Amino acid sequence: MRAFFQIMKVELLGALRSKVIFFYALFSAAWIVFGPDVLKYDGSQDGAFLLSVRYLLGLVFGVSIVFFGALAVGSVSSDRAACRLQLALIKPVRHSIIALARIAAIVAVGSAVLALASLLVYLSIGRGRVCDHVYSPLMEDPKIGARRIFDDCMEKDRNFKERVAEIGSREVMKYLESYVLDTYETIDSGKSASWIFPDVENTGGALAVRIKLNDMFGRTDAVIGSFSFGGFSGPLENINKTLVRVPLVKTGAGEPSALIFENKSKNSVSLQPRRDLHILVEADGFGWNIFRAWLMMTSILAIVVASGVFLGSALSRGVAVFALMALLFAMVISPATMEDYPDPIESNAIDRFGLMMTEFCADLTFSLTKHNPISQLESSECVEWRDVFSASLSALIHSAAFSAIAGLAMLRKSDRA
Amino acid sequence: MDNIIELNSLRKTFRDFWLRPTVEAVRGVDFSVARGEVFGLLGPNGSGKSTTIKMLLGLLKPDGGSVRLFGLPPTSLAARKRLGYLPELSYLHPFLTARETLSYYGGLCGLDSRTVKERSAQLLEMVGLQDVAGRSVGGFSKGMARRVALASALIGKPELLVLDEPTSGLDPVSTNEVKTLVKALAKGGMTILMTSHLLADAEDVCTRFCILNRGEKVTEGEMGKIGQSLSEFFLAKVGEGRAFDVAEFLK
Repeated sequence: MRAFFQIMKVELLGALRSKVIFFYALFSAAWIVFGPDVLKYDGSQDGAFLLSVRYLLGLVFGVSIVFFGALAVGSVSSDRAACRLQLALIKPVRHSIIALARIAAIVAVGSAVLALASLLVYLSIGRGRVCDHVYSPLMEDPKIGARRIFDDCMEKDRNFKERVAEIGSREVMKYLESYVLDTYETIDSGKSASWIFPDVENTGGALAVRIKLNDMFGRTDAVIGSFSFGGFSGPLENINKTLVRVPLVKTGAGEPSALIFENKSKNSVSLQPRRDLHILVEADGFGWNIFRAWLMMTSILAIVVASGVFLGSALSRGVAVFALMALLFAMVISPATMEDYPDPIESNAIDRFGLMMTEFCADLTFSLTKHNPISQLESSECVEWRDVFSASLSALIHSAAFSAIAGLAMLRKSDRA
Repeated sequence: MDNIIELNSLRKTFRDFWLRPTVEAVRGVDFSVARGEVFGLLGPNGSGKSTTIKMLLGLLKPDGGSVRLFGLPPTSLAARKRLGYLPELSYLHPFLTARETLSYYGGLCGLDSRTVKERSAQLLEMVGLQDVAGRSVGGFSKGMARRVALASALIGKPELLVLDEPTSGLDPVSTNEVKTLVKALAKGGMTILMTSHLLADAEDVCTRFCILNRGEKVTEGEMGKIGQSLSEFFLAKVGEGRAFDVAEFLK
């Protein structure tokens, strides 16, 4: 452990004594403080909040990922280029410890910069704000729904059978799953619909329904109705918003389990319940939420830094930086690329191969893209502790695994020197 | 006799990206170094000294043959714990002070902070840098950086000290200081393996030597038994080298 802390200390001293880190932290702080004076927004408190979280903190987080990732790549590769690495490699310390200590040091510095940015956002705009737990309705597993449609079509539709033989049942099932997910539910005028929710933990905080509306004509100005959820209820009188938050107030007795919506407007109302309907329960203040988001950002940063240290150990600096940037680029574009791919049923073999490669990239970067603390912060959704723990665990596992293979790669590389 | 280093038929061929052989750097070298010896690994440029040292330190994997340090593979933690190494150039972190550098390498050797503090003070005094212990080594002269590197190699009190060209680039006074230090360490029982181009330096401090040329061992011997100066012996074994014909150029 002494060796671990010594390597970490030297890495930290190197970072602190280099002016680059100091100026980076200074610019990050200046961007958070003076950003609202530079960027334009609608002047409202909500506008200022959105600006601070999405564009100021979000940018600091994004740039930090790239900046500290590149720093991690250089940590080992520049030491190798300066022939300093060999002096550490011949000391009685496991090579994986050398990698792990470097990861820990860079993450510590990066996390300090993110903490500073988060604190400034909290002090400037976050005080007095709250965040909500978000609950989605309990719906049938899309896999089961897709299987039911698949079996039904296989029994009744000969053309379907031929298409399945042509493109494979796996691709068809994927298409059907997304079909089930995208299915709209329509509530006609004067009718009601209900959705079952999981046990909503009501700790006394305010309850609300968040709904994304879309009537049959693509308009959102004519939806009138009411929600009831156990002993709570609230009116929906939407004028012009797509995303509406309906506060629920206690009006009677009853255990909340099913949310009932009564459509009192003249038109039908359509929605995708899985995506468009949520129960919100006030959780705690923005201070706690940004703290959890900071832990999440640090975990994501740790995974990128661990990848960077591994790449820097196995490759030369230029190639390693390029590989890391390619990985980050794939992380950012994979989800959008998958959305834009043609449906498997209508696509050819080359499209399907491209989709398979994109999905591989998405799977590779899944740990990084699974939770986005910035989008949760900006929509005042609670960054859940369980997600923080799962992200932290993922970061620990990634760091341990990457440092183990980086330890092996350090010597392998010098083999070719 | 208790051998600290044993090299048997050591071979190393460097390869390009496509694994095609480019240089056969070491071809079947074997020698051993006994406890308490000051052993000189000598040879002209490109003779395979540095590659042999890298394999001995476990930084390079040999293609053939074997290396044992203290009877163990050089990559084992137990062997590395008893080893000190001074590379040809002093590769130090420029932002660290001399004291922090020693503290860093002491930590890597697993020493506790009190021992590191005590040994750092002793070593800094020994190499004459106690007055500049708080200065960044990035601002040190080559001689001072060399002394810090030597102190770093000694911080773990190694049983075996490997010195790669220890007097390279030093002025005569510093060279003399380093040679005196090596002799004193050897007298104290430390086993030393050093490489050098400077045969006079090797002659002064080494008890035994091995000469390499083009990756092969040319000869091995004891310093007092060659019957002539090491320089004459070396040239007789390795060759005088080619004489450059400068007359045409100077016309």
